[in-house]
Amino acid sequence: MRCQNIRTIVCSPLKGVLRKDRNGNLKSIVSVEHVTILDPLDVETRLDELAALEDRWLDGKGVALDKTGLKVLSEEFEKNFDAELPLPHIYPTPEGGVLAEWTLDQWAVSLEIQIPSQTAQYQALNLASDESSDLDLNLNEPSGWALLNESLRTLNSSLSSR
Amino acid sequence: MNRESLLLRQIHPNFVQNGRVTSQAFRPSPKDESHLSVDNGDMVTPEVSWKRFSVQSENSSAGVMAISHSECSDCQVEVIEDGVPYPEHCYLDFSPFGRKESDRIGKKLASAAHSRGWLFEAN
Repeated sequence: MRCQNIRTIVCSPLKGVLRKDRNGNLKSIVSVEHVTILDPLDVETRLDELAALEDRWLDGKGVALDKTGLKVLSEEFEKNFDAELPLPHIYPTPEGGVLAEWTLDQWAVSLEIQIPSQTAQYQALNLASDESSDLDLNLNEPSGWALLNESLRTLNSSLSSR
Repeated sequence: MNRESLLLRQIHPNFVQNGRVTSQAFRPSPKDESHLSVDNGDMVTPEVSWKRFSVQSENSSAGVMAISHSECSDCQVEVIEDGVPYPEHCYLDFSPFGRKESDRIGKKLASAAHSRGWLFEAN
């Protein structure tokens, strides 16, 4: 089972025996063999949700996100993003891209990814000191992901060491 | 309007994930021509602001958040009370700033709005 509603937060893939009516609609769950509870910020699920957006999704503006590009991003994220780092919140951009954001104590971090080119702009801003850094990343390359991981790890470890 | 005046901002439902609002909601997109629309909170309540916005069929808002006039001034962002297309309409002028600086300002304003919380939430 996959959630179709963009406002649904947590989806749980479920394996078991279902009873359906003659029209194929779910009537009841007879037994459950396996349930996987997903992280509320699960990236694949969120990107699946964003793939459902259509043109004009933002008050009559806003470009639909390229489904193939989102699939590539989802696979590359799974393969390259450091699993020890916190997951980002993810939002669509009006231009048909994706904006990933992290809040790490005083650091507000964003990664704006163009779809389908997979080029990205990273920005980290310390809200207390105004210290800031900007990077252009190519997420087609493992080196781009490595730089992202290293940048986030630096901010995250400075919090952990306090 | 004074330094404590609140500037009301409609938040699109797709700009909310798990209760967190993106900083994009507090800076103009390239299509907005450097102007970020807000309503003067001295002239209209958050709920009335939301109703007027949402009654238009193409518009969708999860609710209203706000930043103060002084928070905009701290970021060197000018608040323009243009009164168009309705009397309490204002805009934040991002035209002096490039994309990266606009992103930084968006992060600061979003942080201030998050601290204040929702002023009105649609059901």
